[in-house]
Amino acid sequence: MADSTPSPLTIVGAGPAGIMAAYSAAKAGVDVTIIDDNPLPGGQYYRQSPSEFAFTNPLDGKSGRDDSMDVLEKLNHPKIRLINTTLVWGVFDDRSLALADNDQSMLLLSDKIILATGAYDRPLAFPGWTLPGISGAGATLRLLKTQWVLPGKRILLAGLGPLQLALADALLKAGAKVVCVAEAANPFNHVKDVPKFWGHWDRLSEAWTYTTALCNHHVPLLFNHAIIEASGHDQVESAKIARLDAQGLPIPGTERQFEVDAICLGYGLLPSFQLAAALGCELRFDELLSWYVPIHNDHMETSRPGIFVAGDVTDIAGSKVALLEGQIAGLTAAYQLEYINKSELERQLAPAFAELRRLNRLASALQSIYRFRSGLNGLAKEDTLLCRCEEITYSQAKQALENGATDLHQLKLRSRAGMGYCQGRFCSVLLAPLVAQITGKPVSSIRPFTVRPPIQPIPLKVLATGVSQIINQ
Amino acid sequence: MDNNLRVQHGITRKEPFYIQVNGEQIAAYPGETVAAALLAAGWHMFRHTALSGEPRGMFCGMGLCFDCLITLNGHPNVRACVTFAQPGDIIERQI
Repeated sequence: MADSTPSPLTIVGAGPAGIMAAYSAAKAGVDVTIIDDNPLPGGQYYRQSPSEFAFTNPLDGKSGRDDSMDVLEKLNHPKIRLINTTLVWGVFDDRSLALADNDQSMLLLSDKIILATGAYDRPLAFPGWTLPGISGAGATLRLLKTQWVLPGKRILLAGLGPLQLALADALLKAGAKVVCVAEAANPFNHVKDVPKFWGHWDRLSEAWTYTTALCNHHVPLLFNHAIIEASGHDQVESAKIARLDAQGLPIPGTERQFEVDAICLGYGLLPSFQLAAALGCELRFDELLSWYVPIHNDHMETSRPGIFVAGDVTDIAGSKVALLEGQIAGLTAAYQLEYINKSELERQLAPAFAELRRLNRLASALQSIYRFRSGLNGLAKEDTLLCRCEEITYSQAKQALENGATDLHQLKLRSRAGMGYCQGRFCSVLLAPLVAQITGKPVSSIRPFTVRPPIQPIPLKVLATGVSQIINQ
Repeated sequence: MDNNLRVQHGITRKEPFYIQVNGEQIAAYPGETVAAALLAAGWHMFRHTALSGEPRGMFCGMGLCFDCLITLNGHPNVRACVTFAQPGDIIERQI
């Protein structure tokens, strides 16, 4: 057995939160190990194109963000060890993280842990939503900005929030035809939130640029509209949208149809809380998100001492908030490891807390305007799949609930929903409202599926090689 | 070669190579994922599901949903969206 000295600080996820956490702790003198499942660091916000591609403007290959070179450069700190193409698939003996790359499995005993595991596209179940050609808005942005491939030639965007505008702008710039942007919210109903935008001129100007681009390309931007149906044979061929009422339910007679070869669904993001849950960190139901996030205090520490969260895994508020939360978590871990004292910690955190308060005012306005309305859970028909992996329909799930299942766990045992490859990441958020409806309980009382290892499927051959401890030096 | 779906402006790719998809040769560029090469060639449908046989393609695009599974060089259940294409790859659409 190799050296079993624990890693003082292990960070999971090399996006903005993970990078800033690593850098802040490393600068204080901590030896940091950062694990990321992608071949290149940066996460989704600072996504990098493969090194084989060359760009006229090098920034294009590094997400196009103005600060991406600065942020990615921070990983070159000598006290940071980045382990990429490696995922964390479980937790054993309290603080041992089980890692796997393409060939072998390893254990990494860790003292402090920062989870910066990010988020993923929220699914929306409507007739035809599993057709090829329909993918997440984040998925499409990633395809376009790292692989430089368009998802189709006639694209419809349907979703909630400003990411849609950014995606539409990127697609138009790349030469695609965007047939329509269906925005489920109506920002004009939120006049009371307008003062919260004061001072955020960069964001307002960005929104203005995107909206102008849509106008110039004659792309209809329809507020209070959602996708309600997609159809096609081997791939999506048409999309139907409709206007929504106050609850978010489609209004009959307002349907419009578009011929498309791709649909991007941008109904917000869901936090990747699976590892936090596996570590025993408490989750809370967020009313605006209508789903669970790990709880944390001002210093980003979870309900478990020495385990932190930072970025979209807990506050879906964008890259700037993620950078600050990473910094707060990294410095606090350094303090707990006694690399900096209390007054030094407070001195360094004061500006971060102030900026975070400023950004959170805007984030709370956006979260309120673009909150997920319950009517959007009502688009599935009897034969619409709720669980893509195990192919469980709305009516099969309903049947299992009428036969006595009272929570997600029992529903899984009775119907197989949630037993597939995605480990319930996508179906749980679609099944929970149905459980609430049939059992008469509030959706906030429906707990997510219990997280069990492997948190992501890994080939048995990787386990069969045995588990070797990572040597810490 | 129909490169309409590949963005050309401001980006230079290396020389393409070929991969075989259900017996058909399609081009891929170094650095491309299998999913990107398939989509650029106009293949949205990557597989049929085991139970109902319905078509599926790329959905989450980041390795989480396992909908883009293909058989690669004889190995089943490979995620096309996070796997880089290599010269001579043989891809079969999975049932």
